Amino acid sequence: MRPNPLVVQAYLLRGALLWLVARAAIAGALVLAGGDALTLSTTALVEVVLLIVALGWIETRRRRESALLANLVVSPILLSVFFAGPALLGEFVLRFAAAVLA
Amino acid sequence: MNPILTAECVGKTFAGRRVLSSASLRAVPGELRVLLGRNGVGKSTLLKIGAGCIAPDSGSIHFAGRAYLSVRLRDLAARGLFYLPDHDLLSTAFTVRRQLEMIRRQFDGRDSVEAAALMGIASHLDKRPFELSGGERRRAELAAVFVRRPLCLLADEPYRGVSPKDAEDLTKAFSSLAADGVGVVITGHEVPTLLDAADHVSWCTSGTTYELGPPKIAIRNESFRREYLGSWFYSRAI
Repeated sequence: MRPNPLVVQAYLLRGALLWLVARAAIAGALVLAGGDALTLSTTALVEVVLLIVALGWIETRRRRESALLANLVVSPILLSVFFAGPALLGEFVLRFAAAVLA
Repeated sequence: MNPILTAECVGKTFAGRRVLSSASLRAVPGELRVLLGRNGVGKSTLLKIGAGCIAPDSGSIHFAGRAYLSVRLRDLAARGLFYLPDHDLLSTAFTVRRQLEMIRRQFDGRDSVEAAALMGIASHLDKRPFELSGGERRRAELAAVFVRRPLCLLADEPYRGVSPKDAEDLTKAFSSLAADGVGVVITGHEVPTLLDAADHVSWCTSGTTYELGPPKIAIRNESFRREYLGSWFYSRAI
């Protein structure tokens, strides 16, 4: 059973917000260190995506949403995809923007 | 009638402490069953095992004609089970309306405004659960159940933190669900409220469960009276 668009939208949005906040903090730290704030190495990109998934899980746990999500037939793997998706897309957009600017 | 959910001979140990040794749980369509027992005897654990939230060490679970040694809540939810945990079900991140709509769209359920009106929370639909009182949150959770229209409902201590009036309304809602053919199992310590509503009483003690039957028969069980109800309750009931 697939989750309905309302559930998908809600958790994709949460993933996107988490990525925005985390990525802004990472970019700030990279600028202060004199590095490239836009483009991350592949390893760093994977780490950022894993970080967002972990933050998403922490937020879901903090809000005690496990029972609600299970009642909505949302699997943990699918939830991780909802959190990872916006982060991957965002990093792709940033890479594209960096390439255009260069 | 045949049970929609059965957990048989369930055993569970936590950190070396055996909580359940051979306990059973049954939900029968059209029946409101209550699972009673003292604190820490494993009522919530048994309900969580029946709902697929935790895996049993031994025993089996049957739901809607299928047998499982271990199952997850989302698999049972897809087949018609709804579980109300012993903490708030609804997320503080979204409005009540949005969460009821999520459930409605997922299961092609009942109209969420109608369900909210039924539970007396229509004016709170656009609030987030943290803006509601304990009683209103329990009503919102029951509205979610009405939207879902499950085959079986397992509710862990649904009367916690509610006023007598709210408890009365919740009881009516549980009875209405049972009358509609839902198999309902509730735990709790609100003995007069639960016994008034129940069709069947199960008693959880010493790691096992006893099927005591209808409340009028259950309160005459000597061990149940002595070890759980106490003499004060029994003298009032009689």
